[in-house]
Amino acid sequence: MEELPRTSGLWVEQTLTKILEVLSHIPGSKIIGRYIKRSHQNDPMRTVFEVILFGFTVAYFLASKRPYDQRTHVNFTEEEIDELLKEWRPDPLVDPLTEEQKKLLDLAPVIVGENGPKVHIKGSDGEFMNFTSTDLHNFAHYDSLKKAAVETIRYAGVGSCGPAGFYGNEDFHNNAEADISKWLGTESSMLYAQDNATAPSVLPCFAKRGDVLVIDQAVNISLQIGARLSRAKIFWFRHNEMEDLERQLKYACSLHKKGALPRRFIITQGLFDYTANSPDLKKVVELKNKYKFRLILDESWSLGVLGQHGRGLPEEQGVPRSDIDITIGSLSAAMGSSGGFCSGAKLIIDHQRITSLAYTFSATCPPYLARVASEVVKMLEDEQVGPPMVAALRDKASIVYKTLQRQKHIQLISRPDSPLVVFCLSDSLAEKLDTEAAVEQVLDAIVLESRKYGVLISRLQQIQEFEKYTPINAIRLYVPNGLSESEVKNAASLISKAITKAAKQ
Amino acid sequence: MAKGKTEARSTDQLNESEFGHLESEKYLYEQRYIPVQHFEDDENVPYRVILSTYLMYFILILIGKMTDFFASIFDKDYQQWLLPHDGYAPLVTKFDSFYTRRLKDRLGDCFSRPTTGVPGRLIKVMMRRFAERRVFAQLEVTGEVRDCINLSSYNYLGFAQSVGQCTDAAEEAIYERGLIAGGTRFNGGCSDMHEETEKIVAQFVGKEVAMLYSMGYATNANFFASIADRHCLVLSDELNHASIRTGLRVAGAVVKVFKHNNMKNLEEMIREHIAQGQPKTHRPWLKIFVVVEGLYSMEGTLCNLPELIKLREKYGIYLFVDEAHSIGAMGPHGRGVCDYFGVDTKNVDILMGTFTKSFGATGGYIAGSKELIERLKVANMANVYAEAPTPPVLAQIQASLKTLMGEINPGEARERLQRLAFNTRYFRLGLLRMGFVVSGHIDSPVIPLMLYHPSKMLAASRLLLKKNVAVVLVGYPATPLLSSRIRFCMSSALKKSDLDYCLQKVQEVGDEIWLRISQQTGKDGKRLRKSFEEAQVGLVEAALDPETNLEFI
Ligand SMILES: Cc1ncc(COP(=O)(O)O)c(C=O)c1O
Repeated sequence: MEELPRTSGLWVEQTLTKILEVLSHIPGSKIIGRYIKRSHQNDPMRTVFEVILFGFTVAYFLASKRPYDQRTHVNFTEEEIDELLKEWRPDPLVDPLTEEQKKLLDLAPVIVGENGPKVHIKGSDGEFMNFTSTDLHNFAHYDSLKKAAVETIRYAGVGSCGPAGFYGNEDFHNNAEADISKWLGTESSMLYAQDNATAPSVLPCFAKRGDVLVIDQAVNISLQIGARLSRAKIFWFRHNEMEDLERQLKYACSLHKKGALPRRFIITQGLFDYTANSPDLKKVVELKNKYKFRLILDESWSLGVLGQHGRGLPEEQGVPRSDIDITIGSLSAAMGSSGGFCSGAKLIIDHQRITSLAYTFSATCPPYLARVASEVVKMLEDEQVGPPMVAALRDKASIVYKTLQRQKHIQLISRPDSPLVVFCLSDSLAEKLDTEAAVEQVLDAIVLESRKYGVLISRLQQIQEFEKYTPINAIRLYVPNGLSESEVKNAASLISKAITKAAKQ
Repeated sequence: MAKGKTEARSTDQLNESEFGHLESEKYLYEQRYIPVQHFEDDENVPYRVILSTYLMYFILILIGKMTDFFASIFDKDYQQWLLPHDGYAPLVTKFDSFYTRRLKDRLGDCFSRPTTGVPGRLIKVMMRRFAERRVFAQLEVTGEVRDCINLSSYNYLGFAQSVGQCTDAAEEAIYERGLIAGGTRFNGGCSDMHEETEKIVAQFVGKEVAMLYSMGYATNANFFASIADRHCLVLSDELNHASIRTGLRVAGAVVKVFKHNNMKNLEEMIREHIAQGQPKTHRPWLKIFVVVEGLYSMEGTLCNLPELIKLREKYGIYLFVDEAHSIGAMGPHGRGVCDYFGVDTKNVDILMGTFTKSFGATGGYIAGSKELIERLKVANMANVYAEAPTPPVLAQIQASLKTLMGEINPGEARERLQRLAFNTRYFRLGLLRMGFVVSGHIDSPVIPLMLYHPSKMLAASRLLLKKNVAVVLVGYPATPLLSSRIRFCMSSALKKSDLDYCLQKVQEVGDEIWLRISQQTGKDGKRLRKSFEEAQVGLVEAALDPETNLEFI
């Protein structure tokens, strides 16, 4: 019995010596040993402290190896897992469509043959005046543009076969970018292959976690998605209400107490997709300067439509383009091409060319579309062609607006000269109908009745699950510049007639 | 050589520079799946390479930091854009842009080279020089245009052409249908031509129905939100494309990443997650998706489809395969990975692909069951909010698919497919024999050649351009910092003599900057270090032999 402590003491000592011996062979261990000895001599508490610190470090690193959700992890045996696997029944890949969705699908028109101001649609006879085409100026059918497009295809083929970083950037793209910059008066621009993919890719390049976005509640889906993807802090202000904007700006600023300054942006549109209204840009710029925000303006619908040369809302309201930090635009709306673009200072564009996902990880748009965009910009810039064309479009839009203004069953939401005419049912009618479903039914009836009169229109389409705010139940017309004034007038009264008829049902 | 547009050239000349003629009937290979081929890459990089690469980055970062220090004092642009001023935070932070400004910009002239004309067999590269720096490096074109052999474009089947049936169809579409679709698919932009094209696409890929979108990236970025939500689990390969990752984030699904092509890891994760259920609540998942790519565009690896299908059967998961690069390029009929592995497409729930690559058009598609597509029609953002594909693009898609299905120019499909397959094997084996580190599957037309060192990227790209070979560099952030690479994309448009020329040039460059560092040994037990002439002996036969195995060459 007495042997034990002695032998074990010996064993401990032997092992320790051995360990020290081994350790002493490790290069640098002598220095560490000396350090420990000396620090222990000077301040024994320090050794204790350092040992605790070391233990803590080891514990910390071991702990962080454990994945996060293992905290709620349940340990199962293999048999239990097999049991659970047998029990698991996945949902079907997709749910079947609801009646409502089926009806929407049925109402979606399929154009037979050429698309344009006058079209034929599948399932109906006769010609329709087309109030659903986004190609407002009917650029798709300009002979000069067709010629340019064919020339380009005969020179460069259809697709570009690669992203911009990988030789997909042709001179046509570079020229179009330069032409757009020159037209708008910005330093630099870049093209995206789809308009809807532009904003979701632009915003995350500049707004990151911790940054601040103050956004109009009615912005289109791309901006909403972009804002969400950026992970920035979002403040929504009521549609076009400048007091509320100021309140939100103040509030957003007040939240920043210390630490690095966040980047702050106001996001609004030149002409809103959903309401076809415009903000008071002067006021927005004033507020942005006052609170030191930057302005991102989505001009998808205002380019080619607002301002004398179609340069958008800034031109119309006399705000210099330099006050807008980032301009996002669509080439597939009134610009007769396809895709989107972003425009601004050189650095803003250069930075995006490397960090923007939809740009770096996607093929460039077909060269012919870039060429068409160039040609369209040149047309709009041409004093003889551009201003009269843009003015004509707005005149036609006003005709529709004035005609529909007299219709009591509806309420116009859009601004008077917007070629996107948005209206919903009047308050009195909506009240009478009571439910949303009934309202939708009347709207569908208006669409169908108009079609009976030979005017192709459709409802404002939004997907509820993705929209931040409840979609507006409305009808949106795209006034085509390809129809003559009298035709537009005629169509507007037919739509009005259809509304009366539908409201009576 | 400058911009003399179409008129100046006869059709014959044009043909040759866009699509070289077939030099011998021998240079055709019908793709065949041999089950022994590997899916995972376990290239062991020598330590000296890893160390020197890190050292190089360290020096670059050090110099960059020093330059930044001086720039913050002297450079006005720098102060204005990268430092806070007047109460504004900088739009781009020093930190975020450091990699671009101080590292990538040094290679500025190797990326985004502007081109002109058809990206066919040859590509016209517009030469540039560095101009004055403005925060980022600036480049200006010199006016010189150079005809280079194109190993860079995704022109797998050589459909990028300015003549031929596809271009004719596109031109006709412009005259008959106009330049653009004129609206979204759901409203105002849907024409009978779209429906017709969708039928052809569905028939080609072997699914019930298909749906077209005007951009491949947006197809993925918007797709997942329509079918998955936060009660769904998505198991995603770690190397999946940015568009897929964006799409999954938009959907808000719970995403777990599995190791590239590691089926064991994937199965473990499936078992684990089904057993555990949703986080916190432990309720069962509503749906589980496995999302992979058919052909990985940076690695040249194929997904392990046979295994994936087994897992799908066993566990009831839904399988999504992104065929952006594999459609057209893989399989004896060019119908993608299902065709290559000889499995029925009904084993894959969702097939996605793009037309930007093999078909010389643009846009993407989703193919699946009727219910799926109907759902997408009403609940997919790209369908409801974004513009529809344009008529000339549709025409190009139709014509190229019909060519592949033998409805137009019978016989052409065979040539295009088999030339691509041959070129792919020939070039890859050539590189391997010469001792380059090449990753990926033997039949993959994407052939990455590993460079590792950042400085070698610059050297390789410039030297090859000097020898009139246009190549793509891929580095961080598209790949890990360590594995910078050149990526060669094969094409049916290339002739065998082009490949020989390129192999020779790559060897020259490889000798100059020390790229032949493969650790692999050949049949004779010696390290693979053949010269071009030695490598060429029996190369055609090896490329044509379906049993050729990358591990014993
Ligand atoms: C796997 C994958 N998916 C999607 C895309 C995007 O396709 P697109 O270039 O047509 O936008 C790419 C393109 O690089 C890709 O590699």
